[in-house]
This record gives sequence, structure tokens and C-alpha cells, in this order.
Amino acid sequence: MTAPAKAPLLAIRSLRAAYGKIEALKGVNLEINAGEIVALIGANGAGKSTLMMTIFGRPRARSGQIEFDGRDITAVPTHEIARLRIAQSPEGRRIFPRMSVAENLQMGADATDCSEADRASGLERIFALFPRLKERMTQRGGTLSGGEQQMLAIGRALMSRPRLLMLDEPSLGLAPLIARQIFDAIRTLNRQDGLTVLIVEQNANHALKLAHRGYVMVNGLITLSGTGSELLQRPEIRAAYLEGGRRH
Amino acid sequence: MDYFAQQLINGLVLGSIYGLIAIGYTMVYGIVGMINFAHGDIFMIGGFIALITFLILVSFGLTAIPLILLVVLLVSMAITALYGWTVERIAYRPLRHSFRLAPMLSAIGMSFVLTNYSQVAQGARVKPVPPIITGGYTLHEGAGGFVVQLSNIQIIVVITTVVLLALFTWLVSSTRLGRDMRACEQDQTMAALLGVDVDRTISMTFVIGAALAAVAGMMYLLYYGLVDFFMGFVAGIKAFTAAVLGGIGSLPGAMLGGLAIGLIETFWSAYFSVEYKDVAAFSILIVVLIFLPTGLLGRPEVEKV
Repeated sequence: MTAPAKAPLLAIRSLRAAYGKIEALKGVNLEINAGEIVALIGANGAGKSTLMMTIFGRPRARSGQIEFDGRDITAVPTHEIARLRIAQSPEGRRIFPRMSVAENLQMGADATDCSEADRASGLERIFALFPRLKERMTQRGGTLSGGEQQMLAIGRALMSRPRLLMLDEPSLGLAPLIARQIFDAIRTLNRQDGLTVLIVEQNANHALKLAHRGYVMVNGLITLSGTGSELLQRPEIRAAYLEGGRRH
Repeated sequence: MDYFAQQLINGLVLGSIYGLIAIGYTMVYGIVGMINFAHGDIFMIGGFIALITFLILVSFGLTAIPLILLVVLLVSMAITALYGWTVERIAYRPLRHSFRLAPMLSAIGMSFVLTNYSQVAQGARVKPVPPIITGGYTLHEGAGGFVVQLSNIQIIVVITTVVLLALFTWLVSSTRLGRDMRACEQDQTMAALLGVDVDRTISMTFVIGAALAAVAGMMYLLYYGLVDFFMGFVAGIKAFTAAVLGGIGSLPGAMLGGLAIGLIETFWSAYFSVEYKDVAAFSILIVVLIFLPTGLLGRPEVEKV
């Protein structure tokens, strides 16, 4: 691999984080360049979601460094991370159940204090990707189906016009057709808008096909990295994540 | 019939005061999941500040009653809000990540502190004020000589409550602060991920709750013509009951519960016995909770995920 010409958009160095005494991240190194889709794959409990949350300071990093666009953000308060235009569609989607779809989207727009014009164009973009949301604008978030909630969680993140979009298991629990729709939307956003994406997935096959590069996480450490197609070829990846864990 | 109509008016006025206090309980419960037992005392503080402000204005020689009332309203709202903010800052926030009971215990302690502070600072005696707003209307004169009256102060209490509720509903449903408050109520972590300063939003909740309690305190002072350091206790318990009756966490529920408690108390005193009015109010609370465990307008805990 050739060294990137520019500094990466997000650089994580020797990051450690823990919940109480349980260490979830044990020195993670990861880089995301502007315009890339990066996939982070690994088994349940490997620390993938923790890594995303640690970028937002929940939990706080015990040691190591998180650098975004050349600025050290390791100690920045959680609510200020969103203002740097890092957005997350978190594990479990976390839609506000008793707010309308419109209000959920507005929460995303509020995150970066975006102007009325930006808000309107953001909404238009989201409706183009997920027309279903337009029909549901006045409905309460908690009444949406799982797929619609996922679309809303991504839509809400997009309303803050992120420079880095982080998606935690966007296909979890969704019908294959809906999952494909969501992966297509991510690809479109990356190609047309140059959006940088970090995607956490257990569905390694889909994620690695979508991503430019991928990282494999095991027990709080990155064990492998490479381009998406490289990783798809690796026998240990195929055995562990693509063929139901069976060895042959 | 005339007697009934008169009690209805009295009950609605008392209910308005309870409702204004109950909103503070329900808001705080919704957002931080604790019962702020010091809220009744915040109401009492509001009454005292209204009284003090009134006396200061009068001693300056002001005589225009509407102007005085407006200034008293704004000053007591502002200073009481500061009390609410301070209580949260020093007694609850440091315990927010502690075990669930800790802030509740701290709230009970805060209640004692505020009660005793007022007793020491203002004395234990009941503080009367001469009637400030007098006059009223005779609505109906019955055959038996019973007169249904609507006093000016009653009109002022009800109108003030309605206006404040309208403002407050608008704030919660349509402003960014209101949206942030609801976001924090539903999912604090997600709210923070979306750039909401959760600490600040919680502080604002206490500030708004205290400001509404201050209005209730001032209305109480005007309506009953007295304040004392212990009045927050009973009023607080009643308003808390109102919040639970309406469905704790529900804002319209708090108002409805307030009106319900006010009416029950008034009617019970009018038709049965004054001594047992509290028993009646609490008994109805128990009956409602047996059949509607989440209160009149409370939502069931189940949410689709």
C-alpha cells in the first residue's frame, strides 16, 4: 500500500477504553481518509460499538489519541463532537420514540445549527434516498418498522451534514431487500457527495464489498486490515465471518 | 345548585395552583427520573419572595397595583428560578451517576434545608398581607339568599394559569429548548450524540419548574393572603399527588391531576367534612392507581423498539 498523500480525516492511535474494570479497547489503531468507506468487522463483543462511542467520549478514552481533521478531540465533551460534524447512527438506532419523524430529523439539523436552506436541501436529499420517510413525517418514531427506523437514524445523522458518518450495524435485523436499499444509499452518498463513512458490521460480506478498506477487530484489538477485496480473499476471514464460522 | 357552582369555582382556582406546582414535579421526573421533594419548598420560597418584593415596592411608595403585581411576578419568578437552579447544581448534579435513591434522599434533605432556612431567615410566624386585589362579580343570586361569587383574584389566578400553560406548552412542543428537553427525557445519550448539552438542559428544566412554582406561590399569597415557612410541605405533597394522579411524566396530566385534586378537596370540604379533605384526595389517588397504574394520562411503559 502507498502512503496517503494527505493526513487522514480520522486517526485513532493506541486507543484504550474500559467499562469499569472490563477493558473493551486495548490499544486500537485505525485511520480513515476523506472520501473513503471503511468497514470495521468483528464478532459480537469485539469492541466495535465501543470504538464508535469512545470517539464521542462515552466511555472516555483511558489512554491513546483520537484526532479529527488534525485536531486532538480525545477530551472534547460529547455534545461538542457533533458540532465538529461527526455524526453517528448508533447501535440500536436510538430513535426518539415519542417524537415525530420530522422532529427526529430536526434534532439532527440542530446538532450543527444548520441554516434553513441547508435544512431544506438536507431533507430533500434524505427523501430522495429514503422516500418512505417522507410519507411518515408526522408519525411518531416509535411506531416505525425496524427498516424505517434505520432509515430515520441514518437520515437524522445526515441532517447534520456530517464530514464523517459512522454507522453501527445498519443492516441488523432487517429484511435483505431493505438492507440492500440501505447499503445502496450509503454507496450513493459516498460516490455522489464524497461522504466519508465508517461502517461497523457483522455482515462482513456486504460491508467489505461496499468498503474501500476494512479492519478486523478481535477482543479489543485490530488484528487485520487491508482493502475490502483483500480481506474478502483471506481464508481466516472467510472461515470466521463469511461461512458461519465453520472451518473446513 | 348555586352552592355547587360556587364550590366548582373555588375548586378550579385551588386546582390551578396545584397544577402549576405539579408541572415542576412531572418535568423533573420525566427528564432525570427522580422526585424532587424540595419542589414544594421552592413554591414556598416563591411565596416569600413575592411577599418581600411586594413590601419593598410598597415601601418605595408605588401604588399602581397592576404594575406592582407585574414586577412582583417577574422578580419572584427570576429569583425562585435561581433557587431551583442552585438546588439542582449543588444537591442533585453531583449525585446524578450515583445509585438511584441518592438524589431522592438529597432532595428530602434539601427540603429540610429550605424549610429551616426560611424559618430562621423569616421567622416562624404566619405572614399575613392585607388583601391586595379586592372586588369581584356576583354571578347569581339564589332564592335562598346564597350568592355565587367570582372574585377578581380568582379570575387573575385562572387567567395567569391558562396563559402560563399556553406559553409553556408552546415552549415544550415548538422551541429548540423544548425539543432538547424531550430528547433528554427519551434518550440522554442520543441527545448528547446529537450535540445537546444535557447538563444545561436539565438545569433549564429546574429553572422553568421553579419559575412556575414561584407563580403558584405568588397566587397562593394573593388568594389566601398569607405565607409561612411550612406551607411548602402540604402543598408539595398535594401537587406531587396531582402529578402522580395525572400520570407522572405527562405535562397535561399534571395540570389535570392538579385540577382533580383541587376539586376533590373543595367538594369534600363543602359537602362532607373539612377535616377529612386530605383523606379524600389521597383515597381517590389510591383508587385511580389501582385501576390505572400509570395515572390518568400516563403512558404505559411499553415502547416499540
